[in-house]
Amino acid sequence: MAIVQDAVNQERRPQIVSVIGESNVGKTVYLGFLLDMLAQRAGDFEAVPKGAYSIDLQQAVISHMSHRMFPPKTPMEANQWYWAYYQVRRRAVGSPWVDLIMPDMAGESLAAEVATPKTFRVIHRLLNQTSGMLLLLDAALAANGSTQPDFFAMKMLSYIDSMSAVRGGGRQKTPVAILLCKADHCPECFDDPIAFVKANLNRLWNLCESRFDSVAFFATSVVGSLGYAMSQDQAYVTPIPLHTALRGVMEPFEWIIDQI
Amino acid sequence: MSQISTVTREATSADQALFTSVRSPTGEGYRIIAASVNVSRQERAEILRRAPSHASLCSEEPNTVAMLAFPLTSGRTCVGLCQYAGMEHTARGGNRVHTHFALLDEQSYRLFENHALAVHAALNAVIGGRPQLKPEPTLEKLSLSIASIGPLHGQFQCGDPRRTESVLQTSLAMLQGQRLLVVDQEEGFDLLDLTLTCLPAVVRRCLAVSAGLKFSLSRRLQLSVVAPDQGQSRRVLFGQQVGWLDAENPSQRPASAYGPWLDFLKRRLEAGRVTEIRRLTAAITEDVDAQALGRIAGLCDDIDAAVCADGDELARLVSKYDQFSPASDVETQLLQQFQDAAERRPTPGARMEKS
Repeated sequence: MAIVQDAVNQERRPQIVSVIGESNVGKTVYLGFLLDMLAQRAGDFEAVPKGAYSIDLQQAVISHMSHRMFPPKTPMEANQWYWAYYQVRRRAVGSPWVDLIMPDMAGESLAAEVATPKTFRVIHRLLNQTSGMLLLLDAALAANGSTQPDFFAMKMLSYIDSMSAVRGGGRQKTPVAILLCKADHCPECFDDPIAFVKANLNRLWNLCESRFDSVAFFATSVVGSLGYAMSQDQAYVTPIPLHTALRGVMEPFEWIIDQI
Repeated sequence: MSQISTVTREATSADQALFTSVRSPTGEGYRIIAASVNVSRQERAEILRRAPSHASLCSEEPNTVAMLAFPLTSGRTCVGLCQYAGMEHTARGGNRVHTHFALLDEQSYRLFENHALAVHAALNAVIGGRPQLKPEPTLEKLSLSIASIGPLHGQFQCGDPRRTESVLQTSLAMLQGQRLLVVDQEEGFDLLDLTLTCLPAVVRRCLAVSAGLKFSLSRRLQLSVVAPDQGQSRRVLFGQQVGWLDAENPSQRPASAYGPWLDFLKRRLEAGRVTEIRRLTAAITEDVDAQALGRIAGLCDDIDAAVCADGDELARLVSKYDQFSPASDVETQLLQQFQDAAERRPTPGARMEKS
């Protein structure tokens, strides 16, 4: 793969930041906007893509959203995933460059790997070598009383925890930023993410408290308003992102960079 | 002429599994939504690794059908019929890919002559055009008809030397254990059907193949037949140990130890004797190498020759097999056919003693 060659050429050990979450939680959209903001020097960051393939994801996301469409679903086949390789640094003088590799994995593959470890060895290896994780959860679902985001997050963190235990036990040191996505549906997330998690994702909160040293919670939203459309010959309602209003996209990434 | 007989029965049963994208109380997205109780955890993991997910079919036509087959480490063979089942439920564009897998044990697969497309045809007869989206979580065994093993997906154009050459080169790659991506202008089933037909059943049993699915390294297939694209498939092959073949413009076939066998197949294909090839290869169920296939090809040719040979020629053929010692069941059967053919000839001097 080109990304391997590019990483070798840098003669620096790249840091892998994994964006993980369930299917349809918004991993692709989040990562696409994050990369685009980095490319536009948001948050005092300077970011340089290494290779054209690193731009494909942000281009796909921005292009689709500007046409008021969500980007297509990410297939489970690993060779269809977007991989972004960026060199990132804070523009402050003396700040070192960090090589970041951020794969956009399919939620279904993640779920399958968590359910039966080593089903997808590429995921196992990636998560085993990851320097920081962005765990995306559907806050709108959780706010509606669904236990699914809570259980998925527990499974995911339990999987991470068990990998760490294999390496020698103790509390998990890998920084995990937990993103409460689609927070525009439940604005109280923005006021107090921790209170939201304690109230709506209590199992997750307890696990983090017990096993993880470095966890932070963030509310995130990228869509300003949604329309819904359907035609007479179509059985499904299609969500239309009418405009974007980015909130809380950079903060989790900044926190992760500070941790690694 | 070789007339290897095959065992036939009317139907066999197989475990099944459904892989598609649905929303349920415990999650959403592509996964195994239902399976027979005997499908093990390990088999489920292997299916998940290889099953086609979103946008994996070469064509976006709603009535598209694709296929996927691969051996499982349990010893069973998994054959999948892939089709669309309406829009993907998140409505983010694209159709929902639905794959119905049949898991056949060695004996059941043998009834289909180890031919994945024969199983696929039987699956298509049962569930084609009727993908299940709300099945019971536990499925009963699936009953598959094996009554109609024969030309499966249309008639092969025997008169097209390029396609014949493509079939032979693909067969050669499979015999040599190579991995190959074939780009075919047509649906891909005809080429795959003929390629599998030209391979001994013992080789077919271990093959992982697909037709009509986009190429994916993670599926780890030996043979993928895909539709032409904008070069994406070929780019994926960069740095990989996977060959590439344009079925419409095959290059010259490389010399190999399998030459006599492939030349034999070429003559039969050009003569339109596909059914005979099918019967012959279905009978080759023991391990064979290039030399063994060469001997089998020679026997078949000599059976043909014995049917019309007279005098000295027939005597030469008979003496050729005087001391012949068959190395496999199929060679024994072919030798018997040769002896019968020679026996039927009218020239008394050409008759040979049956051993």
